[in-house]
Amino acid sequence: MAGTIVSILLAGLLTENMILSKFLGICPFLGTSKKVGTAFSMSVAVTLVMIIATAVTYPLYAYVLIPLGLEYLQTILFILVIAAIVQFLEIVLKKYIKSVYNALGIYLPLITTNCAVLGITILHFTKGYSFVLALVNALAAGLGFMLAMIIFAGIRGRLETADVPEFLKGLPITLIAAAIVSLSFLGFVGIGG
Amino acid sequence: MTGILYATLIIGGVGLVLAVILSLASKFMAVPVDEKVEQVRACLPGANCGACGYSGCDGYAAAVAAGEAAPNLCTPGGADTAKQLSDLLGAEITVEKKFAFIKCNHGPDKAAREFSYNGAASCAAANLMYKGPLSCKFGCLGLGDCVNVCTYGALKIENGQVTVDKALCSGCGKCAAVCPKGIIEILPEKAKFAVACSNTQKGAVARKVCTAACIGCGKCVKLCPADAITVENNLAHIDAEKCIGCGECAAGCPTKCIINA
Repeated sequence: MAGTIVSILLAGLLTENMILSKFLGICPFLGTSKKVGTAFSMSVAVTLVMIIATAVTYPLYAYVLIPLGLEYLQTILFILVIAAIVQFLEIVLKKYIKSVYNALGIYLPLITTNCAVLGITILHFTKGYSFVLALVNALAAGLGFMLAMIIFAGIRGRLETADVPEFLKGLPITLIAAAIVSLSFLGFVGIGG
Repeated sequence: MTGILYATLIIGGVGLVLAVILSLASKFMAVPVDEKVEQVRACLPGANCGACGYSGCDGYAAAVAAGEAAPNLCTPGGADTAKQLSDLLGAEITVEKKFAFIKCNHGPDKAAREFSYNGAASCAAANLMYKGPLSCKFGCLGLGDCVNVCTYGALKIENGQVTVDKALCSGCGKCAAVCPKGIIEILPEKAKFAVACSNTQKGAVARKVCTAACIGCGKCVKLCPADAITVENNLAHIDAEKCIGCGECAAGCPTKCIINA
């Protein structure tokens, strides 16, 4: 059990990194990685939503959709549930934890349609994880998301002052940098079995 | 058949449950919002683009309502939204209407030129080149940086220099901030006359570079019955608070640089 958890965590962080290996959640990866601070806020929000979404969608799929043979409803039902969870979370945070609400700002509503969140809730089942392992997997994916975001935010900070050729300034050099970071993560293949 | 029924029931049921939870949550966990913030928010397009520099429309609405942000920062809303917002806030915040006044009136032919400028059509760019083509280094370059920044369409270029439409001008001061010469002054609405010149050179020099320049002769100071005019650095200035609008100064000015504001 402990070994499985470690290997799931390692996979989520390195070998099967949400952004850099599965290419999910590229939109916030490019959109909110200009500063380390915003990258961190966004990653915390994504991790939080991933775990809560898993906690809600896993039983719904395992105990409602599978017995009724309605697996094909997975995508639409998960989107519905995730969107509602994010909205609910926003209301709760606004009411009770105002400082967290202000820190997350616009990023929380943005997660409503984040493919990384939808992706992780579906991936649990293709991997055949139990409920507990699914929660661990969600946490690992969230931490992997955070790792990629913060590494890339640091790189973008360096790019700001770098002497970039005129025709590569802006988005082109950002995409090239993202590709190189993604390539470097390929080197982790094999770790954690 | 039952498959479709179950699918509909499940999606509909889950949707209904979530809807009930959300509506209850928004009712019982509602955070009272300042009424003014809501009114401002209603005027905004809701694109959450962040062009205003705030974290979305809600953040901008809060800043506008608190008086920390100008009402004309919303790019998607454009002039309409800015107008609505200034109308909404106008009665509450702006005690007095203001307007922009260009402190230069060289017109098409009064100012001498040192060279002809064929560079980028921008005052900021022209100003970098020997402070522009005019001999008078204080004068309006007439390339319209202020016109471009105006969200109300109140400025336009006529005869090589900028004119202000007082009816459209909100007095926001964006033009004054962008003018590289710093010759746009925001005047209160009651200002009747103003000195349309910014040249602080001595009279003879000023006269040489522009026939409409203030030469600092002080005739207006003597003519003014209300002591509203002062001359400092060879340039007259009219205090709008004291001015009674008689027009003696404008009639007597030898270079006709005092004009109807």
